[in-house]
Amino acid sequence: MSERGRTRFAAVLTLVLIPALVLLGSLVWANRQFYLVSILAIVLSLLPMLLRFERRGPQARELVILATLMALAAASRAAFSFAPAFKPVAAVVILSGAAFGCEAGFLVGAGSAFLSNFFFGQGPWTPWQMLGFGVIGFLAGLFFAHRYQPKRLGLCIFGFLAVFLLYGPMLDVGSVLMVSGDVNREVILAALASGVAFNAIHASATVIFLALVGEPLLRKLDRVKIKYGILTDAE
Amino acid sequence: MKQLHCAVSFGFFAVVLIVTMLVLHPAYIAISLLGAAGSLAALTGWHGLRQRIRWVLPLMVLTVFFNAAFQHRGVTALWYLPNGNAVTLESTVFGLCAAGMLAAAVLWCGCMHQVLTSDKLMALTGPLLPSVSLLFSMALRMAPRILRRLRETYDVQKVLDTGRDPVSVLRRCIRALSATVSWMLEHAVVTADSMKARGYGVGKRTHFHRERWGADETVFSAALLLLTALTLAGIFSGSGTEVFYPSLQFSPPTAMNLAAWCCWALLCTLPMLHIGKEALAWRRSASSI
Repeated sequence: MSERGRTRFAAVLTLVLIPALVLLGSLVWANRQFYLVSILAIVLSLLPMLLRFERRGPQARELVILATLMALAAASRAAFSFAPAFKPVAAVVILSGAAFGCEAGFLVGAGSAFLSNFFFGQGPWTPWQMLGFGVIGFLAGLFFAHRYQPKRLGLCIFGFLAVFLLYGPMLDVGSVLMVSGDVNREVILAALASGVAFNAIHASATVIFLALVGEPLLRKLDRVKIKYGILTDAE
Repeated sequence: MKQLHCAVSFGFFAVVLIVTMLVLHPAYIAISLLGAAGSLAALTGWHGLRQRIRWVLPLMVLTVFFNAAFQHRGVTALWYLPNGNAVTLESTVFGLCAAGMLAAAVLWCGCMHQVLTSDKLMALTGPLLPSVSLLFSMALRMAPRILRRLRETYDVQKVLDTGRDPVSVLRRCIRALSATVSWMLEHAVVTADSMKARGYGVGKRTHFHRERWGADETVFSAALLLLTALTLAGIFSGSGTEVFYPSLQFSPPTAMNLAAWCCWALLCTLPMLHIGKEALAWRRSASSI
């Protein structure tokens, strides 16, 4: 399939199948199977990215670099396992996206969530984490991948907003769908409010890690990219 | 159970998790919860089950609280909150069912974690998504390796710079991280070149896996298929219908419904039966030595 064909395929999968699924959920299951519908929707949105990657036939160097970044993100979560919410995973994912582009960012994000749960326990929350980190990595690629050596301030602001306004609320809403079969505004607001402190810690941890190691790490990734010509023509 | 072919155990967990999430009838939830707890105990011993329960229980309490406090539908008011909203029987029962469902899902996931280990998962996805599963198997092997290398580098830094103030600690951490990342990336390129030299991407990839299809698999999957069909038939014929709002209406325990619940219960005990059978076979063969 050509590049355009693949993009179109992914778009069809996402734009047609997910609304169809939501419609099915609301008609057949009488509007109550929020969790199952949302999980299926997440799987449907992860699938096109994986299929795209599969069909492209990735080079050995790409594969190993991506695996390394995923492993680094998972290992960094393990290294900070003593501190709840204070995790550098989001920072690693953002840096991967910024260095190697949208697709790499998405794969590293979704992959590191899946991978690290092998060490910390898989559960109903895994798909949400995968999508959350995947989207953060994708956006990082979108904002930063085209420029050489992005500024530290920009990275930090992006990191804070991405975790505080995107990843955190996404997981809060996910947990509402997990625990409460009936979703209304009150329940969602309560969940968001109870998650504010946790998300604020997570977001500031991301900012701290990005500020401390962001630039040197990006330099290292850029160096590998330029020296060996890895993932440079992916965009 | 752990020795079963990965496709069979994956099929089992898929069926059990989907039915658990789909049917909120108290009987189905209770059976699923008991089955999951029993299977987890059989797989990990009482200790493993206790450990899981220790953090599943607060989650359940939270779920019941969440539903009772924020859901005011239902006709049977139990008492009134200071702001005038009612805590209803219906929303509390719903919360109990949702809590049971969540706990069952978490416990089944715990069993899946024991049975479908990462290598089995890779054997399962290998033929479908070869690059993605290769990516994962490499990353799975690298994560502990990176941690070990970080530790080593940090220990060496500690000898070079013995300061105990936070600034020194931070400096050591950053140096260790920096060195590890550099090493990792160069190592990745070397690995990739070595893969290429051995013919990566030249032909179709073959996989090494230890999955075998024997008599056990045939029996287990036949039982799984039969019980799944019976359970689904039971659900679609209305043995698991539940209405929470405005007032509670559950399928009553008639003879037909009881039969359907028994099918679901048998399905949920399949792992325990298989583990029991294996234990028995082991004891018999051990005693005949």
